[in-house]
Amino acid sequence: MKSIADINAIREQMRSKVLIRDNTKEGETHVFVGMGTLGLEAGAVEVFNAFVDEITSREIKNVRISRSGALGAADKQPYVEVVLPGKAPVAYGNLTADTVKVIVDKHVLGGEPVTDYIVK
Amino acid sequence: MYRSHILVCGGTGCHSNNSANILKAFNEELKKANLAADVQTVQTGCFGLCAVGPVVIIYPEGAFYSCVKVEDVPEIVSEHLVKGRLVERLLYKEKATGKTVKALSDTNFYKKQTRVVLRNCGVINPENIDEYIAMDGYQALIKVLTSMQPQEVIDVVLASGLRGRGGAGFPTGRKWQFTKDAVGDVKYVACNADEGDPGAFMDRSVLEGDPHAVIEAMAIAAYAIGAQQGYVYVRAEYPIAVRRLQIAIDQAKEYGLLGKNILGTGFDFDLEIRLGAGAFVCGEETALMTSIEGNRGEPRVRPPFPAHKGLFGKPTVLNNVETYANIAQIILKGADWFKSMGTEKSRGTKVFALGGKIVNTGLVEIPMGTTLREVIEDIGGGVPNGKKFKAAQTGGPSGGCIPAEHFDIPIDYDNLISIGSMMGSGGMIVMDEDNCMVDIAKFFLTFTVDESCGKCTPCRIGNKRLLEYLDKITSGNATMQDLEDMEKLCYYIKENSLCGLGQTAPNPVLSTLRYFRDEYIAHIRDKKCPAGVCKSLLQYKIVKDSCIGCGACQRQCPANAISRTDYIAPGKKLAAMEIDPNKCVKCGACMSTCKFKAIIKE
Repeated sequence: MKSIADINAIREQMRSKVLIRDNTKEGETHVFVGMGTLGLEAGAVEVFNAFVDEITSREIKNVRISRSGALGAADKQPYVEVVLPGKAPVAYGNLTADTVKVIVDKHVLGGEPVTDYIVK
Repeated sequence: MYRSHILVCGGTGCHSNNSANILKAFNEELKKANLAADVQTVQTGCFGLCAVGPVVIIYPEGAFYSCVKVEDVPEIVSEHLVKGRLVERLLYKEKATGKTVKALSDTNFYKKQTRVVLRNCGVINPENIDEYIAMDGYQALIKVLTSMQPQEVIDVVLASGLRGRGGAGFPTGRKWQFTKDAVGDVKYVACNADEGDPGAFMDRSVLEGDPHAVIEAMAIAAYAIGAQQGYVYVRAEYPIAVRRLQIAIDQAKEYGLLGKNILGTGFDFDLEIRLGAGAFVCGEETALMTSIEGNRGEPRVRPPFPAHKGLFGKPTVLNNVETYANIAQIILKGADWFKSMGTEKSRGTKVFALGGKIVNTGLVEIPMGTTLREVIEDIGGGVPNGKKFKAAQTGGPSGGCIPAEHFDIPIDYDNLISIGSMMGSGGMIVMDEDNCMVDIAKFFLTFTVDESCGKCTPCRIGNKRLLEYLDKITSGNATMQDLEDMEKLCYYIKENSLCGLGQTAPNPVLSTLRYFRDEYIAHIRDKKCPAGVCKSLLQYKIVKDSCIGCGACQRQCPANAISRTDYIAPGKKLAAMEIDPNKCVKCGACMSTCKFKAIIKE
């Protein structure tokens, strides 16, 4: 038998796990992670995982992360595009799991592209 | 930590299309691809879009795959999950526009819906209580038990304007108030899940997709009226719903959300399932309670109403599944939130099961006040094969039809009654120009005659006589006097039957008479069925000048009714065929065989 505190603890713990099933997002930001062969080799899965972890663990709403086929030039992998609602896509290259946090903080949440990682 | 979720629909529709094996195949393929630790597979309840099932949704993309087969699973895993490429050929295509859409919320089918009752259907695993808790599940029960007096709970439900979703639309809060105020030491709560209307599957889908919502609401109702025992009366013909509900009850008991001293608050409430034995009349409240008591499911006279003398003679609250599924949300979000949806006298949303001649067969939830046009054209995708919409039947065998002239009527309890139909539990059967309205009335009446329990004479004998009138009309033997007598009989049955089944049984006849009287008259006076359905009034004929004399129809005819004439049509080489109307059994086999459109029915 559980107490009210137990039920609330389950809720806190489970909430981030079902967050990515939210299908009612409005005016959402899209993040596309290129998963071409070169991207996969350069660590696209880690970058994708890092994005999902950031978004779900911090319960950030209105962001949809999508895997995508090959994106960007061979020497810019892993390659990601971030599209804020009503804005042109911004392309990032040579990302790592660590740089993802910066992009989520500054660009996805703050609205300011992170020039250090932008590729043309 | 799972970064992707694969949701496979486990509702009855997709389940019968092999979705359980699709889930199994995903688990095997994920293991092979070494992704089992990254990707979670979830069996959910109904997504609603049954027409394109089995349905699979993959998150975080929200990619919506339709008509998935077991053979498609390896491709989805290797392409989508490994290489990031959507399997385009399986993505749900918006049939109306031909455009490929990705997210569920982007499709026309979902755009106009408001999901309150169905909010967790197709989102959570109904067999996992933790996922329900993650979606604020049982928070309403906690709120009620820790911070509200029973009367406050009833006040919120009253203020919300929630009306019973089983069909009649009685205000739920008032029902609860009557039961609370009734004198008695023991009281009960009961749930009517004996959904029996042809073409209705709303309650089934709620139980299959979100059973905890019903359990939580029943516990809240029990607290409000002072009951300690509840029963869910569910059809035995709903095996998946029964199984998931039982799992949910067991999990809730294990967590201390049912049973003695719930969550340490001192409140006791236990819940049991009772299986319906397959009689439609047991959906009527007094018959249902008689059946729970272990007796033959026959209705009795009201009053006394269940709120005063219900189960085992004790005050009882009896609500339908969908009504309960609204309760927790109303408690959490407040009466004003609920009142903000719908119309003045019909608040909130209503779930409909769309069926019949419609593209998107499935389950939809709309705010009250949505027009029939929006439901059928925008959400339902319209009538298939370029046919014309003729009418929609709501309320099942107790309801009536809504003709095209009322296409723009906002759907709510009172509007539907004003045009001779009713909300009912939410079945909506769409009919096109190929449906004969007399035949439709006959279909529903045959159902009620079968299901009449026989206790009262107007229903047992009256409906039988009514059906005989309809038989007479569809076989071309009726007179205009019969039509008049039949109409009188309808009102007699309505006024004198004992329970709702008999009182509403003539409704399909009355409403088709109201809007399609000309079709009845065509059957009687002209001995014709305008839609070409009623076999006795049909004749298959061969247009001799179109017939090339190939003899294909003759080979197909099971009754040897087709023979060769000696007439050779101009420009044809062989003599034309003809049908002997005395031998013809009107099966239509010749007509579907003929490649030259030389056979017509009239």
